[in-house]
Amino acid sequence: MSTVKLPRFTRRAALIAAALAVLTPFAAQADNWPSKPIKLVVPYPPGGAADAVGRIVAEKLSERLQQSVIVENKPGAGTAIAADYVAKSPADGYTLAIAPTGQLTILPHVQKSGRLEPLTAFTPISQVAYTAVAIAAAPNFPAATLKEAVALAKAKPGDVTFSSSGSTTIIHLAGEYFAGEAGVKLLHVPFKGSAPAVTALLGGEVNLAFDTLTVLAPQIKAGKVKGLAIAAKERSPLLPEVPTVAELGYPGFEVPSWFGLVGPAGLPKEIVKRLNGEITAILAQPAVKERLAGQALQASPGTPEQFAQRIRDDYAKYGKVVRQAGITLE
Amino acid sequence: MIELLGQLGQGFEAALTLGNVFYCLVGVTLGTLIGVLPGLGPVATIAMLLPVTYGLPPLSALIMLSGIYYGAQYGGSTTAILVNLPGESSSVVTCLDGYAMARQGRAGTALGVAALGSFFAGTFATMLIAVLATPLSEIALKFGPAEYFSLMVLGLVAAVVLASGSLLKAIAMTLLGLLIGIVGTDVNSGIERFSFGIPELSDGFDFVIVSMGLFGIAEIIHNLEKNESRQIFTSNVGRLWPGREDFRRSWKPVMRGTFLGSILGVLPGGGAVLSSFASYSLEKKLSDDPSRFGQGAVEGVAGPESANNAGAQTSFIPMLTLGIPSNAVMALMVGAMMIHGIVPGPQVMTERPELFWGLIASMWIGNALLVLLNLPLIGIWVRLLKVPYRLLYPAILLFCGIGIYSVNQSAVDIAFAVGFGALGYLFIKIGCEPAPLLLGYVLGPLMEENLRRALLLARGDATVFVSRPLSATLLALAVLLIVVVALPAVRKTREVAFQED
Repeated sequence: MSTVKLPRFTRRAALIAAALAVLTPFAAQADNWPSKPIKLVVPYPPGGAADAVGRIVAEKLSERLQQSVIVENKPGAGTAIAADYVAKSPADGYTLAIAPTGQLTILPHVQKSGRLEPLTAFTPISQVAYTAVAIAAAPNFPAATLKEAVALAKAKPGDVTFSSSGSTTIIHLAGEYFAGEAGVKLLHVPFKGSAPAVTALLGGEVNLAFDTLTVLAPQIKAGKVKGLAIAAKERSPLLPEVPTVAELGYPGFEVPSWFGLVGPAGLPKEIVKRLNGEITAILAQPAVKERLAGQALQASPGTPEQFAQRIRDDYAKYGKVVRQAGITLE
Repeated sequence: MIELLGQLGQGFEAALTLGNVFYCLVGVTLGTLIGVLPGLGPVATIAMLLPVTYGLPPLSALIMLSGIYYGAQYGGSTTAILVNLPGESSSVVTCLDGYAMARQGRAGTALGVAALGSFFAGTFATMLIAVLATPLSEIALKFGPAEYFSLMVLGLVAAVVLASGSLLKAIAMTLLGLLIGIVGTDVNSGIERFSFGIPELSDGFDFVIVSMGLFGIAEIIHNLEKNESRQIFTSNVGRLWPGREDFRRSWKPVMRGTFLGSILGVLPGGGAVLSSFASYSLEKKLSDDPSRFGQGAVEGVAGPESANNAGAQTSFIPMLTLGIPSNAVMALMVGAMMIHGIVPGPQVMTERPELFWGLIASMWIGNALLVLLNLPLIGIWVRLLKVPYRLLYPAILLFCGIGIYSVNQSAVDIAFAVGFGALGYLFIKIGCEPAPLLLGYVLGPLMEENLRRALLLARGDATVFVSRPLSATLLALAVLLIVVVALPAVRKTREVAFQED
């Protein structure tokens, strides 16, 4: 057996194998992808920010890939049903998902069974959009600034209440995270979704509410509730007069609620690269930016590696909050 | 007043363009159709049509989507009356007397009364939104957890009045409903209960699953075992128009139902569900012969149908004035507004008055179109009853299957519905009514959630329920209702009803 013959043989074999693979309809093929409609799973029911992001991405991806991208809403169990469904789907690029922050970075910390580690169960493709979590106070709450609210909470530990859209959501974690940083005890009052949580704030049933700008910005703008702070790196163009939490003496305090595009683990590199490129191009379109802005969302494209790093950082951050606040589902 | 007329004028000007009337017609027609098809609800339809609305002007999009919503409320009563299938929680009580009327060959009358009652209710509620939207939205804010709890207590007490048979059985069924409602994630702690590690159970059973199973599937199994009833049912379709006697009996229930529905519809979170149940209980209590209820009393259709349609209209109030969606359909409407760059919230009324008033005007136009559309259709719907069971039943089951699947895109849900169908058949056999169960199932979780939230906020002080005036009033009403039920005179009629059973 000579050393010259072997490479030629393997090259031919590789060519034949490649040709066969193209002809074999069942093989996952990055070359001719996408050759059939793509499913885009959204872990929430229609309506709401996650669904809006999913629909924008699906519509624009369909145009660019020349292939239908169909939104499939798979709500339930606080995104766990969709997460499980996507993780178990074949990694052929025909099942993709919009993954919110909580699904990838909080759920694994609080789930009792069937936990899916974000970077081993999924392939991150790109972050798509984000919005910041804001803190608002009820109209009848005596504090008008974050400093006053913290002072009140310090004076009477556990007396100041905050509403959230549900236990173990990013909103709940934001509240606990802030309480931990400020060294106060706040009473968490969970609701079923953002709508009743904000109603309770408007009616003065609770003192504070944490929620995304999507939900709180219109109410703060209309003067129905007091905007105390925004948990972001910089102030929001939506509410330029509301300071960031970091400005008010909690440097580095940031709770972005983001949505990313993921696939099942082991998605072929070429498909990830292609999708990441398309998403980056889509997010550069002014019309897309405008539609995201309608939901108080900002486009946040990046490489798959940047997205993975984001997941790693937030995963570590919320793991710490979950442990410190003693949040369990036991 | 002049200002209001001016604003309404502006609204009609915006809504009466050829294009907007067209979209309104498309919306209500689609709504009627999906309402008639069992299981397919407005949520799935609006979600599917949302992309279509991207290209429309915002007002046209909203007009069409809201048309689908209230059109579905109209259509939903058709299936409830004809085949005993409540597509929405609000049509559950329509089944009780509406279906009984259909079995007596008075389906046309029931449909006619439902359509006319709904039209009146829709018109009145639309006026109410125009005049009182802002003050009414304050009511929604006055309702804290304590008030919601007391409202649910009142609702549950009323549920016992709902049953036409044995009081004991009614209480048992309500309790069973409460237990079924407990399945799923506890809102306060986030812990799953009775889900047995099945992810599909972690949010509990969806309403569509329980109602399709207990009512629709059970009724079909039950009808398969008796051959003779089919003859009576299909040969005698009856007159299509309500008679003078029906009008005489119906007009008061329609007014009362409209009023109840308009008020309860404003409350986000459970208010709209209660309105038709509350109206039914009220009519039964006020009737000189309560035993007729459940046997085809026209009041039992007129009141709840008006209440549910009024509630459907006024449930727009929190969304329009506060930017807070009170149900899944409203959440989708908010989504549709946001897509067009309109941020729903208190400022819509002042910043985009043509949108606000145009939508209100379109609701009135839509209600008028619905009556024009539905009255001639009654003849066609009623003729559906002549379709042989061997064709009708598989079709109903198919649509139920599609409808149930469309809720969560989950096949497991269909299996659950079949299970509830078997359970419902058992209930028919042992003479237990599913309506109190359904009410317990809907209200129970809401009641518990609000009870615990109220206690959490009051730091465990249970007097909060009587120290808050609104809550205390509601509880007092509940006590009053119990006393009335316990009174000898009423107990007698109950016994009579029970013997008739």
